[in-house]
Amino acid sequence: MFNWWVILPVFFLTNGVLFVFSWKYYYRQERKALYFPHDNKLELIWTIVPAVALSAIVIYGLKTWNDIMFNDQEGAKVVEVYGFQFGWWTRYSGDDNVLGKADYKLITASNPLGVITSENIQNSYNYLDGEVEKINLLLSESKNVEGEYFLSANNVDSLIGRMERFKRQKYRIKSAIDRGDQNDSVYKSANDDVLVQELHLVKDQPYAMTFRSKDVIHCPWVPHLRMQINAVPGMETSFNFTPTTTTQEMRAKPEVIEHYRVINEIHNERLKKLGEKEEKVEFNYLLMCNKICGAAHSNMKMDVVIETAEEFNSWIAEKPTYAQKASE
Amino acid sequence: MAHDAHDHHHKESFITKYIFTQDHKMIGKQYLVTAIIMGGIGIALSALFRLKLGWPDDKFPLLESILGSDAAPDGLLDSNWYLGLVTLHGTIMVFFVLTGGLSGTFSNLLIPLQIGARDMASGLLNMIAYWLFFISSALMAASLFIETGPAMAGWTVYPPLSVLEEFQPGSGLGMTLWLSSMAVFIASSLIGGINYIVTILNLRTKGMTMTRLPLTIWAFFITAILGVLSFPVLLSCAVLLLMDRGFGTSFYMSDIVTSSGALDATGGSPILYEHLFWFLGHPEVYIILLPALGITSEVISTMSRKPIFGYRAMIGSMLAIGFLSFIVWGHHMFMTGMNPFLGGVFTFTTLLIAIPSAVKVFNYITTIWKGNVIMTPAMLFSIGSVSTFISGGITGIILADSALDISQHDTYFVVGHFHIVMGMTAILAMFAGVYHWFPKLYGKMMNLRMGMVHFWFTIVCGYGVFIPMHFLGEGGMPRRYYENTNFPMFDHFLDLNVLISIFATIGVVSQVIFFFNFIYSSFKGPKASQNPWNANSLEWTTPVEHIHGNWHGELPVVYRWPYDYSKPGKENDFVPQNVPLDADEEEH
Repeated sequence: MFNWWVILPVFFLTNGVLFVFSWKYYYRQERKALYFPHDNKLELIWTIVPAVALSAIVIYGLKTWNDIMFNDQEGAKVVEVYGFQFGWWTRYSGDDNVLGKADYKLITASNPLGVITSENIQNSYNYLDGEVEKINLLLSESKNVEGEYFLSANNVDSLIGRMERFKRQKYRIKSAIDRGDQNDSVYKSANDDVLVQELHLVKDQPYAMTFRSKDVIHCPWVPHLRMQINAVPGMETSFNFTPTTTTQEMRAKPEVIEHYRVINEIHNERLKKLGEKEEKVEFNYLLMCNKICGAAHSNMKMDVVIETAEEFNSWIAEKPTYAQKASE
Repeated sequence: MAHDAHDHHHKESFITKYIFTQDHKMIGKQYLVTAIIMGGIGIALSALFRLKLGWPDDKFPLLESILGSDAAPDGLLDSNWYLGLVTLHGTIMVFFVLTGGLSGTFSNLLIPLQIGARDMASGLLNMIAYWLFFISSALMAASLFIETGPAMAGWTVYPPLSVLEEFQPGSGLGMTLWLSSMAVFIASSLIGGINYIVTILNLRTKGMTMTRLPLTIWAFFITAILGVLSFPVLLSCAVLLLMDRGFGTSFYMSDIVTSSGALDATGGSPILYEHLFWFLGHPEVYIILLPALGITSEVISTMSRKPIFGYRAMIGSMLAIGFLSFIVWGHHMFMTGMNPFLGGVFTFTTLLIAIPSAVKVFNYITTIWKGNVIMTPAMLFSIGSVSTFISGGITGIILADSALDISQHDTYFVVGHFHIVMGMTAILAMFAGVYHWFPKLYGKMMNLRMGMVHFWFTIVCGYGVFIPMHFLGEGGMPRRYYENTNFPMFDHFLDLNVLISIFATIGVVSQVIFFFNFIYSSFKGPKASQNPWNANSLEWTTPVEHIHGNWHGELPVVYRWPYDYSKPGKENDFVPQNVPLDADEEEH
C-alpha cells in the first residue's frame, strides 16, 4: 500500500508533465527553443529524490520480506504439498510433527509421494521385478525361430534400456534406502502421516509448509492468502505462515457476499449460454499452479479449507495414516 | 582512420547488392525487413491466442484454417498449442524483433553514418551476422509447421518441462529447433556486437571524440557490450540443456518421475538453469531498451529543436543501467526457493536501477520543456515511448520489492508490466526510428498522416491491452493459463478479458497501416531532401542516394557535439556537427 502512495502520484505527475510539455511547447514558427544543455544542480536533485524514495521502499520492503521469509514460529505444524502433472497431494505430518522420509525412486501408483516404509520398499521391489519380467517376456516373444528380433532395432534398444533402468533403480533402492530389519524403526515417522488431496488448515495455527514436485517445476499459489513458492523437482522449498480467517468467516463477510453474488450472476449466465445446469458458486480458498507446467496447467487445483481446530480434528480422524493403510 | 575515398562505382550484380551485400546500409535494411516479417508473425500469434482468452467458449473456424486441425480441431485452440503460440510469441518478439531487429537495423544503419565511417570495421562479418540472423529466424518460424508443434514451455523454456517430450509434445522436435535457432542467433549477436564495438572505437572520423558521439551511438555501444558479455552465458545454458535432452546428462534434472518410471538423473537443478538463463535474460531487457532510449534521445532533441538535456548524465545513466543490469537477475527468481537473503540483495540492486532510469526520464522531460516541438510521427512515437517507460518502470518498483512480488509473481501483473516497459517502449522507439530515418533508408518520405493514425492506434490499443492486465494480476490470475473458466473466482474478469482481446485485435490489425505506409512510401513516397528534419548529426550530410563508402570525397570532420539546436547567436536553429566553431564560440 505504501508503495502505491509513492508510485501513483509519480505515474500521473511524470506522464502528465510529459504530455503537457509536449502540447504547450508545440511548434511555432516565430519562437526559438531555449538553449539549455545541462544543469548539474537539477541532475543532482532528480538523482537524490528518487534515491531517497527508493531507499524508503527498499527498507520497508526488506523488513516485510524478512518477516515473511524468516519467521520460525514455535509450534508450527509441518505440512507437505506435492505437485505433479496435473494435480496436488497434501501430506500431514501427524502427531510427531515430522514428515516421514520420502524418495522419488519409491514412487509407484500406490505410493505417489515415494514415502519410505518397509511395506512401500517391498512394493517397489515387486513392481520393479514385475516390470523387468514383463519386458523380458515381451522380448523373448519378439524373436523369430532364428533368434532374431522382429521388432525394430530402436524399439528393442529402448525396451532393453528401460529394463536396465528398472534394474538400476532396484539396486539403488537396495543400497541407499533399504535398511533391512531396521526399516521400521528408521522410517517410523512416516507411520502417522496422512495423505489426502485437499488442504485443510486450522485458523491461527502456524504452519511450516514444505513443497516438492514429481516431474516439472510447479508453483503452489493460493491467491487469497497471497502465498506462493515454486515446487522444484530435486529440492524442497518451504514457507511459513498462519491462516487467520476461516472459510466460513470469509463467506459471511458482506463484501465477499456481494462479490459472489456478482460472480454467480456471471457464472450462471455463461453456463446458460453453454446449455449447462445452473450451479451455485461459493467462496472457497483454492490452491492453483502458477508456473507453466504443460497442457492442463490451467486446471491444476486443490481445494483449501480453513476451519476451526475441532472441525479439522474430526475431518482428519477419518483419514487413514500410513500405518493404518499398511495394516489393512 | 580516414582512408581514401572509395569512389569505385563498379556495377554490382543483384546478388552482391541486395543479397550477399557487405554494405552496412543494405544490411540494415535487410535486418529491418526480416524484423518486420518476424514482428508480423509474432503479433499475429498473440492475436490468435487472445481469441481463446477473450472468448473461451467460442469456436473460431479461422483458427483451424490458419493453424491446422492438430492445433485447433473444430476451431477450438488446443491447450498445448496455446502454450506453443505463447512461447513463440515471446521468443520472436524478444529476440527476433526487439533484439535482432532493433539493434540490427539501427546499429548497422547509424553507426558508420553517425561516426563518419565508410562502413563497418568488417563488412564480411557484418554480412555473416545478418545471414546467421536470417537462418535462425527461418528455423524459429519453421518450428510452427511441425506436427508436434513448436516449443511450448514458455519463452524461458525452463527444464525439466522443456527436456522430455513426455511432459509436453513441444519439448520434442519443436524444442530442438528452438535451441538450434537460438544457438545460431547467439552466434549472430556476438559477431554483430563485436563488429559494432570495434567500429565505434576505431573508425570515428576526425574530431569525433567519444563525448561528441550522438546518444544513439552510445546506446548501441553499451548494448553491444552487454550482448557480448551476456549472450555466451545463454549459449552455455542452451548447450547444457541440449546435453540433458540428448546425451543423458543431468545438469538441470534431479529426482524426476515420468509416466515411464523414475529417471536416472540425480544431482542437477533446474535452479541452475534459471540462474544461467536470467544472467542473460535480465541484461537482455536492457539490450532491448538501451537502443530504444538512444533513438528517443536523438528524436526528442531534434524535434524539440533543443539540445538533449544533460548529455553526460544521459551517458552516465546508460552506463549505470548497463552495469546494474548484470546484478539484478535474481528478481526473476524470488519465488524459486532461492535463499531469502539473496532475494533481499536482489531487491536492493533492482531498485537501484530505478535511479538512473528516473534520471533519464526527467532529462527527456526537461528536453521538451521550453522547446519548439515539431510533432512528426517519429516525435509522437518517442513521446509515447517515454510515457510507457515511465508507466512500466513504475510497476516495476512493485515487482522488484520481493515482499510484494510474492503476491504478483507470475500473474498478469507481470505480463502487463513487462509488455509496457519493455515491449511497448522498445517497439514504439523502433517505429520512431523507422519514421525518423526512413528518408535515410530509402531516400523517400513516409506519409505523415498515416504515421500519426498508426501512432494513435498503437498507443491506445497498447495501453488498452496492458493496463487492464494489472487488475487481472491484482486479482490473482496466473499467466500462461489456457483458460480461466476452471476457476469461477475469476469469472468477474470475463468481460475485462473480452476488452483486452478487442484492443489486442484492433492493435494488431492496425499495424497494417504501417505495413502499407512502409511499402507504399518506399516505392512511391515523395523524394527526400538531404536533411529533411534539419538535424545535426553526420548521417544527414551524406547524399540521399546510397553510395558505397557513404561520402563523396573526404570524410567529414567534426567540430562540435550533435545537439547544437537553437544555439543563441546562430541564424539557423541547428548547427551540423561538421560546421567549425566560430572564433569566440564555446562548444557547449
